[in-house]
Amino acid sequence: MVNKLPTLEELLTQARHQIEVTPEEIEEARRRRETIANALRNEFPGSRVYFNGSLAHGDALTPLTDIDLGIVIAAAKYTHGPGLAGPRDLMDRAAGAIRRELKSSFPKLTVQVEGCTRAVLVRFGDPVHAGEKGFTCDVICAIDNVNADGLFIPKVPGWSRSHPETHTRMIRAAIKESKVTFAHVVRLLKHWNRCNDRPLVSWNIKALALGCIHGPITQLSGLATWFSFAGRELDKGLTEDPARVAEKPIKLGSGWTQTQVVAELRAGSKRVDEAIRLERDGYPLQAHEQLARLFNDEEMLPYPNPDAVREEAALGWKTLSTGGLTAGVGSGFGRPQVQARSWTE
Amino acid sequence: MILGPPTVNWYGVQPCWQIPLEAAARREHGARLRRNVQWDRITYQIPIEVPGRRDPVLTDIVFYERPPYPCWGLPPEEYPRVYAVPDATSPHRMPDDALCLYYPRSPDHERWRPADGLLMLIDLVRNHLFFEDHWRATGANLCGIWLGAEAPQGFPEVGRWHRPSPRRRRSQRNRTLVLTSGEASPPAQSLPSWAQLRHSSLESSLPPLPSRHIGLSSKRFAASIGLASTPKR
Repeated sequence: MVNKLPTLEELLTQARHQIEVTPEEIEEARRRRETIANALRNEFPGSRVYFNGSLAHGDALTPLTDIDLGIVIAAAKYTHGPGLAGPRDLMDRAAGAIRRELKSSFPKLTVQVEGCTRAVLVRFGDPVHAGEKGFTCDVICAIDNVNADGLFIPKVPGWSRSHPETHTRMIRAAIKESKVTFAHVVRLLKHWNRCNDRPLVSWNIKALALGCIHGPITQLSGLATWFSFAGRELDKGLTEDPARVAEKPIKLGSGWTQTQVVAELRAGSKRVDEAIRLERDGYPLQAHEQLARLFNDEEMLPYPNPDAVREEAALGWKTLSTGGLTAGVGSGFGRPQVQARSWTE
Repeated sequence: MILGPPTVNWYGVQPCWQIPLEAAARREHGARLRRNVQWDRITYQIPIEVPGRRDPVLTDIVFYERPPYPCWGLPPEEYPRVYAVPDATSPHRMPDDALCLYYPRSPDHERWRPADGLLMLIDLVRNHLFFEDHWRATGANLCGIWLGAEAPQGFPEVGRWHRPSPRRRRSQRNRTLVLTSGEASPPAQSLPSWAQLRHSSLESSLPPLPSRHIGLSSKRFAASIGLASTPKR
């Protein structure tokens, strides 16, 4: 019996299952998120809670180590904001409420406001995924912007504009429109990002995906489309807030320059295109090898057998090197080659 | 070996040499291609991906102002040293473990030249490393198959190719090429310049000497590597 080699799409699906958040992790994370939301609703009556971040956007990876939520505090609408009071007292109240209501359920719980500019940091001291050190929640104390779209979120000691509720709506709409493939592609890209020194923040990956993934698409096409689009867009400039509310564009990954990120994206684009070409030309193992190199994570997407890859490449080389002309192997394929004869002194 | 004080104007330090050499390779490999310039050499370091190898092969391509190895009559810029996968068993390695990428007496289109650009040299190295892997996987010294074209070992002598004895190889470092007279039959159909070489003076058959690059006159350069003398017959 001949073992049929998996297609690239099948490989991507298998790989994605390795990194997807598990139902147990989701259930436990939602339970904790709801506990915090209830504590905040009790502290700030009449306020609305919103969810964002990877869990709310449907693209969380395992191990799940953090969640995000915010509360839009109704009572602070006219007392706080730019030119009025800063966010610190609201953050302190939120922290106190979370401590009061969660301490009995999570004895190792710590809630930090000092040194936090954006969010109250909640450390549960108790992971939802075995083997992880902890689990955290970022809590944003926001107020409605009465004069324009979106919210004011803390940037201690002041405020900055954002529209996290619209972000979540946009992502959910894209997932629905693409019949979930948007979330699949984003998950793969987020894993590529974390295995390659994080050139981008997760939100930037999604913001770029919103600009190029429309409608149902295969994961492989999604990756090719995204890498190509992201490289071009970041070459022009940093990514603007898709909700058109934030004053500043999305920051790059820590320690990365725009030039470096563009180079990384172009390299990714080239690799995905090369994998597609190899598969189309009948070299499934070398195509697989390209994807494994892209993700750079043996546990998520193992490399094919090196001997089998070499054999396939040798066969291909023999086929292509006709009429005494030497073809290129690997990424040298398709380029003119020096027709050299190896020698020994 | 060419000894003497270093010059500051040799080819490797000239932007007009570096820029066209690197252009296509930079576009392809970006920041992964690194250049290290020293007073007497310029080293390009690049991790090269080879099919069937899990990790890229870190490769050093070294251009010398005055190479400490024989260039067999080629200008130093046309005969860089390329090092990768140290101590690997291979039928095509130099005594110092550099890759033997091409026969220096080949016609221009069968060997790499700076005008081809670094990218083409990197592709040539990738092919060579792949051929080495395949040769080892198919039996190495016992019955290993070398996929690419091969030039016979050593230099042609008396209508055949020979590997110079260690003693002669030592003398070649000073003399660059040992020629002997012999039968008229060419050693192989793909060795076009050999018949001409045997019937013409050695110096005139060699490629132009790189005086403009290394700051030496042709005569001084030739004399310094022993080419001005009559070849041993």
